[in-house]
Amino acid sequence: MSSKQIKLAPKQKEKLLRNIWLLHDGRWFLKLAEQFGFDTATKLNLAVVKSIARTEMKQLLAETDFGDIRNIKDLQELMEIAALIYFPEEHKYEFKVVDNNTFIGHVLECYVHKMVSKAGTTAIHQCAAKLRFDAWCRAMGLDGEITNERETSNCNGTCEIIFKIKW
Amino acid sequence: MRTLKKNELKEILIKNWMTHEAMWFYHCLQEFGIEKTNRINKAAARAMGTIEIRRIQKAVDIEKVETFEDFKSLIEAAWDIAKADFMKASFSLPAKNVLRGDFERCFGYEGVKRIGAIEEYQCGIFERIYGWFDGMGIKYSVSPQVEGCMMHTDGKCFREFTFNFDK
Repeated sequence: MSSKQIKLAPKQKEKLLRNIWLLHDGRWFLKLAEQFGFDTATKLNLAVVKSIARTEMKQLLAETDFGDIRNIKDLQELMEIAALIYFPEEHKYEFKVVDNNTFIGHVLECYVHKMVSKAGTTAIHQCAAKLRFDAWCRAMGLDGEITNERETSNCNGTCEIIFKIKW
Repeated sequence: MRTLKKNELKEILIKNWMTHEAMWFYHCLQEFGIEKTNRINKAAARAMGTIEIRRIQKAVDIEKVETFEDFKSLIEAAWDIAKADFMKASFSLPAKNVLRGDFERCFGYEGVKRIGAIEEYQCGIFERIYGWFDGMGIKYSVSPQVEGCMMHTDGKCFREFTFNFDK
């Protein structure tokens, strides 16, 4: 039996994998929300984000042999690599180094906000970005504070995530 | 720092995805116990699998799965995307209308065993495959019928699926 040999390019595979990963995450949230309500699904989602964020950063550091993050330039470099790997193509952002202790992730179009908008739940959704980046920083061994003044209900898909790092 | 090769990137994505999924399982288990967690896990995997295969179908341009050859091409493409090296699994097509999946080791079994829930765990891994068949809109029978975790009870795990394609 001869089947049609179909080979997707690595880029296509990567895109599919990221999207299906998000899809799976979304199914867990939806199934929990259906069974136990939105508040419970949100509570679990925040706990899960905290755990996976730490793991994803630790794994990236190990796989790339990145070494210590010693200054804001190292942080920017690592954030650029992490974003390319872990954010889907639809997520539009810019990174900016403000000074030796301050790094800003400016989200121009947020993929989570897009999905939440489609589901019609922006008013009650709790953004997990701050939690995720807090966990990333801890996994990097950095002492710092992450701030994000906006919530899903008032961000309109854009925000500034500010990293204040003590070296 | 070293640059990741394409295959390493795929491994990272799939590893983190499966870890993310395991964390949903773990947090759900802590909150609701194994019975409800099994139900949510299987429902999420099956719902994801259904959409996943349709996305892969679209990417590889197989509009409908009408023949066993279409099926074979699509399964090969899906396997190429979804299977990582750490998943010690394989599939074969020993005869027309037959698909067999074998697990030499199972990351699901190992993970659930680690968190002490293996006695009552119901396999969620094959739910994803059932979701693929749902998404393709094909009928099948599966043997053996397994309620719990075959790797736990038998020390090996496999399923044989039989289809009824005319061509």
